[in-house]
Amino acid sequence: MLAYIARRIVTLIPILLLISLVSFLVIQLPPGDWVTRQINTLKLSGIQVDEGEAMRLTKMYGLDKPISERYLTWMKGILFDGNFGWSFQWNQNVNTLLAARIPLTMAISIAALLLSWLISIPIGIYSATHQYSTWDYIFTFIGFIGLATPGFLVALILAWVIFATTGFSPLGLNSSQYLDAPASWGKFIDLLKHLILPLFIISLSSTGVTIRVMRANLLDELKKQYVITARAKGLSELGLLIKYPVRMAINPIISTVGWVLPGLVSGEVLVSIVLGIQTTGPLLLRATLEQDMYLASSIVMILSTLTVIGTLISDILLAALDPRIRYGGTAK
Amino acid sequence: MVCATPRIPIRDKPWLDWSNQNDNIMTNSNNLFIEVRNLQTYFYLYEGTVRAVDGVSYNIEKGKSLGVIGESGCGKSVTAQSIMRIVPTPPGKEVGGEVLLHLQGPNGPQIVDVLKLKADSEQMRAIRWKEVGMIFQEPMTSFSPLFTVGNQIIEAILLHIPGTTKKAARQQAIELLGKVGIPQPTRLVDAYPHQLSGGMRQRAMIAMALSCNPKLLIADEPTTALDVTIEAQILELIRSLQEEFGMALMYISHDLAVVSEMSDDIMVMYLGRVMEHAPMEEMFNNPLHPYTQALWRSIPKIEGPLARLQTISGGLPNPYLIQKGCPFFSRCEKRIPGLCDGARPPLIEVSPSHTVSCFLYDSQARSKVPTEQPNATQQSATQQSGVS
Repeated sequence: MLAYIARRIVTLIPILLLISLVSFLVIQLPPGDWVTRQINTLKLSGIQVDEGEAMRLTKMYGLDKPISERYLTWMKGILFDGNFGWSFQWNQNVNTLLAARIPLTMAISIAALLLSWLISIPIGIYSATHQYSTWDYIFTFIGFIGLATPGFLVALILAWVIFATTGFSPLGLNSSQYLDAPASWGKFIDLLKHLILPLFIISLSSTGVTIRVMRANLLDELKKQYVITARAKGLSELGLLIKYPVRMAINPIISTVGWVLPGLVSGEVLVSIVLGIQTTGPLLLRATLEQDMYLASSIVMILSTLTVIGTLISDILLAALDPRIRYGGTAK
Repeated sequence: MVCATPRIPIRDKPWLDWSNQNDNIMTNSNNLFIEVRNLQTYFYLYEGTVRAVDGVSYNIEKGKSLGVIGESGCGKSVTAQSIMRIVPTPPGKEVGGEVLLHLQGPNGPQIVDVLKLKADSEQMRAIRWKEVGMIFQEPMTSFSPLFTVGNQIIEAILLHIPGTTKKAARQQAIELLGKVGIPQPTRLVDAYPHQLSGGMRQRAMIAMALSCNPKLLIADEPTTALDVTIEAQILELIRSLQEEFGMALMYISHDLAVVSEMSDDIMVMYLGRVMEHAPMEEMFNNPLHPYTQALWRSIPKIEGPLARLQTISGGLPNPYLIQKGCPFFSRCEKRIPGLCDGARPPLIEVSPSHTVSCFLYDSQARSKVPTEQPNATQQSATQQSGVS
């Protein structure tokens, strides 16, 4: 098992390097850069910028150097100083920008993931064991609605409904009276109140998916012979359900952790914009629009790295859960 | 008439000196373990109701074995599942009849009708595996792939034999695995099912079925998925363990030769009904039901010239149709139109232990036929060829 994990981590290194290269190149691909975009904006507003000034800016930002050199400089900074570069748009270090947002983003994403599992796995189990019952149809209906309704629309509607009925504005992270207040218990409670709605909305669609996946997997497993064996052995229905088929049916859900993590991070862009939450989603959107290349590349790279790490985590979990994977891995 | 030559001569035939001690199979209850009376298990599907088991009755005595033969879909597995109450519900349901188990209760002998118990009740769960064990058709899937074989055997022991420590249960599992012929049981008790071959897994399954010393072992086509050599070993193993543990055995198969090896009594089923029930010897020497006779003719012979095997003409009737008469009517060579398709043939006791469900042996019913049947010449011809 340890050897398996170690081998997986070693194979991660080339993948991560490749990811950094692709993240960097993808952001460089569109024509122009931060300087040409700024000059265009100035020109549009009627201000004349002379060629020399443009050249000076390009040189100052280091944009005149070839791509390969800029990539190496960027990577050197990340690997040796942990420095992700400079954001032109914010005139700040990328690290500072991300440090303010990534913890919140991660907290919301992971909480949303856990919340969606907490809701969907029991519902999926119920739906599968009570197939075609009234509640199965009700849960299926709700699941499809959650799946089909865009999150930002639900966010808009619910934000309005909450504001109209209770007078509480769920937008942003803190109510206005706490915005500049020092950290306090009241502020924390206020923060939690503001996080309920985004959490609910972000976990909505993945809950719908997970209910369907859990239900379908479990229905397949329930027909398997080993379940009948366990029942024939005299195990109680609930006991055998949890020990045998559920353990098998959650495998595919665990194996999707890898891409659920970044999916939640990027999927909540619109929700975050609508609800005014400062996560990495809106930051990435603005950075790409403004061709703030180091910021955009850093976010893309971090999201991709999260995917890879998520996949690693799910593979390790799967190996822990399913002996066939564990042994298949070490045998070769 | 063709006498079956068992395909695999495994051992001597102790059933040759098997003498039938009961005068009436329904009344001698001292030694009975299970009495099934008029069991009806139906499946309610969208397309209609399938009467998978439709009025089946049989007994098995302690230590004896009953072989159940029939084509696929004739209800032989459902009959067994009904005893354990593991028929998938919905769509299946035991709608009628009695399944009486003669159990040894805390206050002496006790007769329990398992159909009266709730399928997931504590009493039913206590009967499963402790009183009635089962070996399934597919050794590949009958163990959960996520737990070791030992874990799943120990689980059953801990569940049914209170006061067993984990260590003792493990020791017992190792002994059982050794008994069913698994090499290095101390090591393989910790093996996962996918690390064992099909034959090994079926041996482990047998070990698991025996783990709580059941009084009745149901073997539901346990060798279907195995090759012939392994099949012979497994059959031999079940037979010897049955003797050693003194269990009753219900052996379900569509393989006539195998059933003849395994059983004291044989019951032939067709479309959820019992066609014929007799001791093994009697069944092979003197099959009475046209369906049994047709089955026997389809067994390949080792002696004599190679000839094309005789098949039973026609196919199984639509299982959703409710048969007013004999279910075998449409394929029967000796059918009596007007009689066999009009009413359900009664179970006729031709000799004390031999019952057959066919009008050919019901002289009373047959004597009435000519008045009901307009085409008398055709019918008498059928009769002449029918009675040998």
